[in-house]
Amino acid sequence: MDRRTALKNLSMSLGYTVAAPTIFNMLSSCTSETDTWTPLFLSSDEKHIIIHLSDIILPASDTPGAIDININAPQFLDLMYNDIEKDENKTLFKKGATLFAEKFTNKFNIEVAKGNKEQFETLFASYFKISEEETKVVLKEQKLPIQKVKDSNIDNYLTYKFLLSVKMYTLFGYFTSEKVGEEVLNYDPVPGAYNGCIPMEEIPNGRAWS
Amino acid sequence: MAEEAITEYPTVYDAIVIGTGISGGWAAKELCENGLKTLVLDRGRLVKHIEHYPTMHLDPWDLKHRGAKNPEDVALQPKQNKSYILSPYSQHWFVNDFKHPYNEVKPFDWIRGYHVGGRSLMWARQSYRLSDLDFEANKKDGHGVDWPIRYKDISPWYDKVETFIGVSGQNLGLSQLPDGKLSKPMELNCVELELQKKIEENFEDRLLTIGRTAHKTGDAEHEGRSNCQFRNRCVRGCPFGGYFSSNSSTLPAAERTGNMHLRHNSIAYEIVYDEEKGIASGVRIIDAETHEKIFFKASIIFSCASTIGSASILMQSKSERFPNGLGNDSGELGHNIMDHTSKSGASAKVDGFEDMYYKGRRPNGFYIPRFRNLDEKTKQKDFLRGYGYQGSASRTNWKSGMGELSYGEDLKEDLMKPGHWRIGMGGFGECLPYHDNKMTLNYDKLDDWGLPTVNFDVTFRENELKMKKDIMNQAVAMLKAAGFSDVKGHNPKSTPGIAIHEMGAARMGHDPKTSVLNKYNQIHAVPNVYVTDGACMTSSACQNPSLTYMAITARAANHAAAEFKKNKKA
Repeated sequence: MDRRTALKNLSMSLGYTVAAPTIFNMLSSCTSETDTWTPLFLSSDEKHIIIHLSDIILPASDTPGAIDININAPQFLDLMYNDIEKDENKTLFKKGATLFAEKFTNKFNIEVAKGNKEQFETLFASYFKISEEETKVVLKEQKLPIQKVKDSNIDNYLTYKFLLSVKMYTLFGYFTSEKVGEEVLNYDPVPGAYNGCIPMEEIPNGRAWS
Repeated sequence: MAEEAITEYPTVYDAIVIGTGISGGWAAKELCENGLKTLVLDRGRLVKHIEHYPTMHLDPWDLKHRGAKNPEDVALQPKQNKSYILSPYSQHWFVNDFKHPYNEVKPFDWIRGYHVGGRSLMWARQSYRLSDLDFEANKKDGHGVDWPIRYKDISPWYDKVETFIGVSGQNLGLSQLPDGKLSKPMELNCVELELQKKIEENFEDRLLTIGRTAHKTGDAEHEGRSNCQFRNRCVRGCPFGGYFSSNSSTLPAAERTGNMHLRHNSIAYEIVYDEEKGIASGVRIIDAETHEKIFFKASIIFSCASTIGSASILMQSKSERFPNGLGNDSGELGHNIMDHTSKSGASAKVDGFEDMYYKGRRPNGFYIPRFRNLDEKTKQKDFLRGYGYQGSASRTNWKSGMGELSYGEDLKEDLMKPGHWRIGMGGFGECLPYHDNKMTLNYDKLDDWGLPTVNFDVTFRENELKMKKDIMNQAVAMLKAAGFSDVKGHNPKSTPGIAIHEMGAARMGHDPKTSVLNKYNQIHAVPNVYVTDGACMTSSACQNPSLTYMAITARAANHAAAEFKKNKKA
């Protein structure tokens, strides 16, 4: 079932007294429609990787995750790489994805297309759950153009480029989606007034305006 | 061009207004309300209030790329995209740079839109009066020529304009920033109030106030408009008429009189001079779509085609009497082009205040009025004149999660909450009038209508660059004094034009030998031609100039109407 329709039906039948988190918990089982779209830019292996990574970066909880929205974050990434990204970045992205897939196969001894959530979580954590010192080194290097990166570091540099781009589009696609913009964040298309100073307690759920 | 067939339009109008932007709209309204049958021309397409605002209601998810620029679109508007105002929500208001090319002897960013309403649709709406500090500046320090008007001449017209357009803000009783007819000010947020307090404590020469902006607040009635709804989607055109534009305000007012004939797609290229009568007889246009040439006759002509547009039309209007362009006895036509310097300032992170937030999207920020070179005490060694700051504070959003290595449920929950506070400000600096900052016409590079293109030869000089540096340094000093962290100053190069406050190409003055226009904006030697857009500015001051263009236009239009009625009786 389309989660959006399901949610609307649920809130209608249960009334407004039920908090959104409960509804999302009830819906957490309908996540299967993420595979039905045809990529414009991504290969099927890359699509498989990115669906998993997006789900790891912004997983479903009391609120929907990156692959629960329409269009979902991986599909948004695919669209943006197809329509907007420069050719140079497209090439870097593909190289990074290939390196990540190779790492995956080396580590788990299976093709990336057959990888499961747990395996992706393990490999992703090895890149993103690192010490503060290591993080600084990585982020500093990411600011360099590729020509200035040491040869011995190129693979690592490209892999992080790829992973950070996946994260960027996961966030972008998620937080600018209709579902998150209208139902998760505080939606206020016609505020009518500006209050410059209000206590956070008065903000519904303590969430940001979309 | 003279040999080509030109249709002579049978009706003789009382007045013709060239342009429908912030100045043209006012000329149209005032002339029509004075009973003059007025032809109002615009070179671009028709834009009707509300009806033609295609993006006014769009949320990010309504756009395929969620507001990200498409490189294919950017490729058509490489110059226009240098302005922060351009986005997929607003790009349809800006020209295609290949259809409307210009030439740069020195770099110049000419940001503009060709449609009814002009830049009054996309303007930033900040509205500040000039004062006698500005009107006397040229005379006092000897740059440029003396303004032929003083504050007392323009003050009643500021009153009239502010009352009609609706300007929200706070009166402060400052000599360098006169009080106005202001409606209920918008609120500063907690962090801006903190900066206000710290500036008051640490700097006796300066203060921070809420911006004065052409948005409707308070109880005054404005026909067809409602109060600002704080959507901050102004640049797309406002369905509520919450801010002033020609489309929402002056053109409907002119329309209501029954005296306006609005003709869009009409590129004015020449004001015709009648050698016998010694006055202008009308305006020649090319229909932008059919390329038909038409000659419209009128008793009075108002050129409100924008600074560069008006100067260009006058320069193309050659006759035996005026071989170098209409009214160019002084040789100053096309010279003394100014724009404000911009892009210098500072920003900082603000620790604390995390228990406070705001509601609504305020289309406005704070303002720090000029505090340099007001008197002996504030006199600067390094530069003449001064600058004012505009800025704002806000809380960061989900974008702060990009470019770092966090992920998972915690990240998601974190990014749903408002992030830490940040604050920033930038200054608009006054540019001196230099004869050598000029435009010329290029007859070797014609546009699609066979008209000459514009060459820009304008540059900021020592005074502007020194002031720009001070703008950065003082912004840093104020943010540091406020106790904010991670204070960073910035002072990149700013290309003339990018502040979109270009002005001065047909300046006002006392003397026909050194200026193009007199104190009522009439061409000295051709009194039935008025130029009332930014071209008329004798100095640039540092205030956002649109309010002044409107007041000057209203004053000139009422002068023209009075003269017209006098002549009719005689």
